[in-house]
Amino acid sequence: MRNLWNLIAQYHVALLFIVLQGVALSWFVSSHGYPRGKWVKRTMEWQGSWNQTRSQWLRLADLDQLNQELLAENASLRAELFALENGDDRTQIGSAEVIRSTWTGTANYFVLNKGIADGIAVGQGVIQGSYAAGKIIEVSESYALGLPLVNQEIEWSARINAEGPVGRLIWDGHAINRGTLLDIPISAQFSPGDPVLTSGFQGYFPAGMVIGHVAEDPTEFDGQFLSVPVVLAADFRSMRYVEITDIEDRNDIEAMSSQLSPKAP
Amino acid sequence: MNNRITPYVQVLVPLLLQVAFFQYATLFQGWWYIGFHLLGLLLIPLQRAAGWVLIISAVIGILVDFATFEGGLFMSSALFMGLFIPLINRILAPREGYEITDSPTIASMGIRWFVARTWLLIALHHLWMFTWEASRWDLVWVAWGKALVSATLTTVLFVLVMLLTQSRRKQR
Repeated sequence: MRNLWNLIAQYHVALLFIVLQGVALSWFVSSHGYPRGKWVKRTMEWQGSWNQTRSQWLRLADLDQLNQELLAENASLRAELFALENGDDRTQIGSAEVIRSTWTGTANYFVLNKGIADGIAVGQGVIQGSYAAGKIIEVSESYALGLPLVNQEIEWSARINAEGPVGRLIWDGHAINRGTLLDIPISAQFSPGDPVLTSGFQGYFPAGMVIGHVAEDPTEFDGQFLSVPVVLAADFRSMRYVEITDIEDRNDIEAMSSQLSPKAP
Repeated sequence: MNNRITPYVQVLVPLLLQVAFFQYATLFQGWWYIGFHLLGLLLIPLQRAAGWVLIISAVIGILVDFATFEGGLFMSSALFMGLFIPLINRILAPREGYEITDSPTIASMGIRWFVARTWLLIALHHLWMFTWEASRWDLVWVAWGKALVSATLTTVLFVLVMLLTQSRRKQR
């Protein structure tokens, strides 16, 4: 404060000149024909430009808010639809925004802008659009860490078609939209384009949620089981707004199943 | 006249003359504007602090603006001139500096000092004022020409006024 006073004292003549000159010129331009017209025109241009920029910012902020609202509404509608289609009203669907994600490594992850305070918990599934995309593995008060399907360190329980055999879906670390469904019996009936769905066994997702579809590539046979190439439906590169699936009695089921077998399927 | 009142009279009389008689005095089709109030600014005592010079300039400018409905033009120009008064005083100061009894008049500082100071300050005032008045780049050259011609003629007028009104005193 003292320095400020010293500064003002040192430059008081210049400051006084600027203030008084400002008053004089404002008075002048507001009362004269041509300068006034020119000044007003320039001021209008500046103000118009500033207002437009400000309005764009506000609109962007509004859009963000609108996006959040739509996402929440979408999640709620998806939960209702899912309940109607599958007769499963145990699944709640919430919404979140991806604030960080990787897809170029082999141990990819993403971070969501919601955490315990928003009802996010470890073990919940993450869907993008209507496609299974990952699961939550860690939560803090306001953020959640998740692993996408495209992570080499985890396996997912999936089946081909609604009534088809269940296998382990893995990602080999190469193409971001390709996975492999292992342990499919040779007797299984399927063809390229058939949907690959969540089994619901792991508790991350309800059963019947689309993961992808069977690819055109040839199926491999290891002597006992088939390895089916799968095209993943979620677009991991553009993951931004996602939905979180929460199965009501997931904890109870996990508690029971963990006593028998620590690993699904 | 009492020496304490003289500076105020020197500032106020030219102002009154300007407001009462010379406010429409623009001669030779605009090539000579007589700003008599500027003589008052020129006669502000040399020892007056720069801040006070600015305030006095602003007040005189405002009064002329009110009288002539010029809306800030005279205030702005007087301020611009007021800003340069201490600087020009310093530039034109004698080698040994000003004495406490020195005043910015021909009688005190000599005709060369007075002419140089008057012309420089009035030229600055007029350049600022005419430029703002023109407010267009295509008029600015004419405006500056008028400003310099007007400054020269006004300097001559002020010298004459000073020679006629000031009592003769020992020059430095």
